[in-house]
Parts: sequence; structure tokens; C-alpha cells
Amino acid sequence: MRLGVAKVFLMLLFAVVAGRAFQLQVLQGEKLKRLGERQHLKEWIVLPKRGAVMDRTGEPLALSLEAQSVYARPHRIHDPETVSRSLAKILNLDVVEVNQKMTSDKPFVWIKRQIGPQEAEQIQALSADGVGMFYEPNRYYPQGQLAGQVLGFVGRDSEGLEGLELHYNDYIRGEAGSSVIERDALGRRVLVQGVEGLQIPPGGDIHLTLDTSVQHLAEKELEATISKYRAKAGVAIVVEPFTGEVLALANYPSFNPNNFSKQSSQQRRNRAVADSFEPGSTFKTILAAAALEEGVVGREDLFYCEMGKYSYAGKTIHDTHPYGWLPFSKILQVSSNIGFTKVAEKLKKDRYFKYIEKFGFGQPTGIDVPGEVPGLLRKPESWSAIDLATHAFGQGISATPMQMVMAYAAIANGGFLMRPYVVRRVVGSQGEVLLENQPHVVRRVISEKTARLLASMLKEVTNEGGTGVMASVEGFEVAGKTGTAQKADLAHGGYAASKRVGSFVGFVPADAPKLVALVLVDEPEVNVYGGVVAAPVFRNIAQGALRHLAVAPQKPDLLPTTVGQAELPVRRAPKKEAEIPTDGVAAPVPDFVGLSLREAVEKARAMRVKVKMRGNGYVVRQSPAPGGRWNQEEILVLNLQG
Amino acid sequence: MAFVLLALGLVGVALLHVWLRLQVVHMGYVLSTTSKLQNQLEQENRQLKVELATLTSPDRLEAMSRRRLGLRPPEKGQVIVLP
Repeated sequence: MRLGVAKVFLMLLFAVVAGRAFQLQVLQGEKLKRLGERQHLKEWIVLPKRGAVMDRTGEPLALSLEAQSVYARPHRIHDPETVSRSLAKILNLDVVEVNQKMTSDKPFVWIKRQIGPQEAEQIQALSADGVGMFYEPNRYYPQGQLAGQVLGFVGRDSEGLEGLELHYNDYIRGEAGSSVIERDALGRRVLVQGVEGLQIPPGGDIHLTLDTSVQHLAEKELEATISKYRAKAGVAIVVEPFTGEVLALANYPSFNPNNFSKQSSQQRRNRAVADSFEPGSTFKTILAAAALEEGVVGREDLFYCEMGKYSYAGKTIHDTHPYGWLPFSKILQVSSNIGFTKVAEKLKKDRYFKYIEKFGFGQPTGIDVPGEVPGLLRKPESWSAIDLATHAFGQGISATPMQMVMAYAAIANGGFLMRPYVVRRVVGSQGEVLLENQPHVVRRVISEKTARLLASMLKEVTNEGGTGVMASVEGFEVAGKTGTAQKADLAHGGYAASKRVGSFVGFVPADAPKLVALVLVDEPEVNVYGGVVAAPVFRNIAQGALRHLAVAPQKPDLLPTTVGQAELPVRRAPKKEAEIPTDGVAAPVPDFVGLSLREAVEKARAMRVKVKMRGNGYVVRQSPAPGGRWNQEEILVLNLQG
Repeated sequence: MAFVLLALGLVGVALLHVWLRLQVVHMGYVLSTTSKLQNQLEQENRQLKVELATLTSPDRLEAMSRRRLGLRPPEKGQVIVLP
């Protein structure tokens, strides 16, 4: 009997359990499953990882870091008052403001973006319902204002808004993605199915052609001259003439992209491409190139410079100094307006215009930064008689500094107009090259012969008697041209009485150019002449950049002298090397052991011995050993130790 | 006898299965902790890169080398070009 009761009781119990199970699994199954998933499944959002920007040596110029941002979902908050108070305390915000956000009708509000790691921990500890955090990328520019206008900046939502950040946004932005993950009761991520395939590629890294050292030098020198001559703005560009790679692109006023919102649009402006100026005398080189290429003038052809006053097309053209008869090369050296007007008369406007266009004026250079303008170029059909003269000395036409520097690069490299670029390549996260910019020849402008001839004439500008003496770099020959242009008066028409743009464009070393540089100083007050305000900046930039690029000085008389050099024979021309009987020379191997690095270098130089250094400090071993017989053309290997 | 062995075998297989499932869950935790650590380290690495780049910016380096080390650009005669 008792057994029977127990049996029935157990069966009933079982039936109740089964019934409940049926109710949960079948009747309410769908609903409960949804509830459960909501508790342990969570959307996992992967933010785009923006690529870095580096200079040509790998020095980072822009990097992204992730910082947490706090948000709230107001309708899920049970006690807005308390939550607001503690949030405001942690985040150092106004309680009333936070409370307003908490009680708003919006489903989602940001409380504070980009908070620090300590604040994030405290909020995590608060674990209030409806308050959450979210990783957001933040952009840093560790070099501050360096190349700020070239780099541009990124808005809050990881979109490039200006500069390279805008131009290459599609390459460096990276993709966003999301997937559903499971969490356990403690909110930890559970990987039951192993790692799911959420592999979102980060954005590519940009490698620039800019060189941080040269860029810094250019910015520093430009700023110094601008404050010295109280100018309004300025541009300095350094370009590699054979490739069109931009080594430095400096603008003043400077712009620091780290806090872009606090700076004016004037500071953000990349004047090198976005502003066009009347070039003034630097443009005479273009006319000279055209006239030489067309054969209408030769280097030594004489022109009468009218003693400084020349009536042409009803106007009087002036020179700063009066001249009589001058050869063409001298006209360029002293930058005579009258001389160039006469050259333009011989060339005629149509042929002149053809070369202006061939040199790339009136069209964007195609550089890979946004906001480039083509400059202003009037067709020769609309030129009046005086326009031929004004065009001859670079007025009545406008060009961007970038166009000017590329035109000079064409003269430097033997006649090729190159397309300038600032991005060498974009490299993906796996090291794959996504984009590579190669040197690109736009067209041949002038023949190599003309380019060489013009370069040799431009060298005289920086020699004694030229307008660009202050641009000369010790140990090198500089080819270049100064310019001092009047500025158009936008309010009253014509030209402003005192506003000038002083500039210098040139390349160095003149016969084997390593760099072309332009310096433009806008509205200097203390002195306006390009030869005074811009040429010394060119010299300082060129000197530093050549040293940085390890270009050896070329003028032998300017080489540093070392003791005992005078008695030594003149350096043998390399071509004759084969004829020299090397075995017969019985000079013993010189002894370098014990010398310091500096002493060894000086001794090797004085003896004209080719040496190879290994290590630092003092020479401890040399090969071949001192005293023995050797072939003088052999390289002496010196091992040094500190 | 055979029935008992079969039953024991089945129990054994079932236990093995349960053990494997536990292992999978456990390894999942290990994996997620490790990948979280990886993310943290990567983030730290990026932070350090920013710091390094800030500290080695040419502006700062130049000021430091001039002030602290008394360096200056080489003058004529101080640069020696080897033949």
C-alpha cells in the first residue's frame, strides 16, 4: 500500500515536471529562446583601424590610437539622477547637463567621447544599466605642425577631411565590421565554435616622399624669414628634379592637425598648390627657355636695354638699374625687364604661349593632394600689345608655387616636365603594396641642350653681379632666379602700391641637380626683394638638405683644406687609372693603427687612400697590415673599437 | 557480462564527450583572454610609438642637441669628404 502511494506520487511528480518542460520548450520555446539570446549574445563591433602616415625614412607623422567613449541609452536607465551624478563626478562634467542627456527622448546619446583609461575603469566599475562604453579611434600627429597642411586631418567619425587624410581616405580608412558573439554570465566572451572568421583588414599605411629633416629645416627657415621681414605668409618647396618626389612642402602660417578645430582656414591652407601668385621675374626663365629652344636668341646675342626706360605699346617699361648693350646671359643675370621685352618681341606671343603651356602653366600639376588650382592663363588671342611685355616679366599671369618649382625641375633634369607626388606607396596590413607612385614624365618641354645652356646661364644669377647672390651655397654652384612681383589690388584693380611677393627658385648642384627648391615670401614689409627675403632661405635650406642627403661639395677650391695637402699630387682622373702601373709603386702600406676615427679619416684624405671603416673609436686592426707592399688602388679596411 | 561492458563503454564515451566539451569551452576562454591581451598590448605598442615619435620629433631633437649637448651645424672644414 505504502509502496503504491509512493509510486503514484512519483508518477505525478514526473508528470508535473514533464508538463512544465513541455510548456517551456514547446509552448513558450520561441519567446524564451529569444530572451536567452538577448542575454548571452552580443553584437561585437570592430572599428576601422586607420593606417599610419610615415615619411620616407619611416618616421611616423600620423598614427591612430583607440580611446573609449561613453554613451547612454536613456530609456533603459532606472535612476537617471544617481547615475548622472556619479557619471558627472567621474568624467568631470556638469551634472545638470548630464541629467538632461539622460532624460532626453533620444534612444542613444554620447556622454563624453575619447576618455582616458582611468576614467574608463571607474565607469566599468559603476556598471550602471543603460550606460556603456565604446572604443573609438583617435588620430595623433606626433610631429605637431610638421607638414600639417600636407597631412590634413581626420574628423571624429574617422573620415579624412583635408590633405592626404582626405585624398587617400579610401586607402587608409580601413573597414568596419560586426559579428555576433556569445557571452557567459560574467560578460566574458565565450568561443564555443572557435575563432569565427571576423578578419577585418585595417587600413593601409602611407609612405611619403617627404623627408622629416628637410621638411623641418624648410619650415624653420621659412618661419625665420617671415618674422624677420614681417611677411604675411610663405611657401617653401623642395623637389627631387629627376623623379618629381617632393622632399619638403612647407607653408606658413603653420597648422597643427592635433587640434584642427581651433585653427583658422588660413592656417590649414596648403598655399603651395591652393594659391596662385603672379610669379614676376622668376618667370623670365620660362621665356628664356622658349627663346633659346626656338633659336631666336643665343647666349651672347646683344640687346640694347635703353638705359632703363623703354616706351612700348604706349607704356613705359622700367628697369631697376639702367643698362646699355647687354648680352642675353647678362640680361638674365641682372633681370632686365626691357631686355626680356625685346626677347619676347622676337619670339612672338603665340610661340611664347606654347611654351608657357608646355611648362605646365594653366593646368594643375596633378600632385596627389587635394585643392590644387590651375592658375590663371589668358589665351594669346586676348593679349593686348602690352600683355606680351608684362608676360615677359611674369605679370598678368598667375601660377601656383608648385607649378613654378616643377617648371624649374624640367630645366634641371634636362627638359622633362615631371608630375610631382608626395606619396610613394600605400602598404596594406600584410605588407602588400596597394598603390605605388612612380616618377611620371608629363612631356618633354625643351631639349637637353637648351636645358644645359639655360642652367649655365642661371648659374650666373647667383654669381657676383647677379640678383641672387645671397642664394649661393658654399661649395656648390647654384642655378636659379629671383623674383619680386607686384600684387594685384583686388579692391581697386591694378596693382597694390606696396604689396610684393619675393621669391627665389633654383636648383643645386647646377650641373648635376639633386634638388630644386622654391621659396616664396608673401607681402614682406621690411624688404620686398626676392634676392633679399627669399634667396637666403633657399641657401639655408639647400645647404642643410645637401648635407642631409650627403652630397659632397663640388668646387675643389672650396673643399676643406687639410694639413700637408699642398705637397700631394693632384688627384688622378679616374679614366687614366688603368694606365697607371700600380705594381711598380713600392710605397709601403701606411700605418693607421692607434688613430682616432677623425685622425684616420684626415690621414686617408691627405694620402688619397681609399679606406673602409668598421666600427667606432680607435683603429685596432687594419688590412693589409702596415709596412707591407700593396696595390694602392686596393681598399684599406680599418677596424675600429671604442 | 557483455551487457555490463557495453554499458561501461557507453558511459566512458559519454564522459569523454563531456570532457571534450569542457575543454573546448575552457580553451575558448583562454583564447578570448589571450586575444584581449593581444589587443591591449597592440594598443600599448601604438601608444608607445606615438610617444617615441613625439620625443624624437626634429623640432625637439634640435632644441635638445643644441641646448643639452651644445651641438651645431658643421662649419667649413669640419666636413671631410673621403676620396
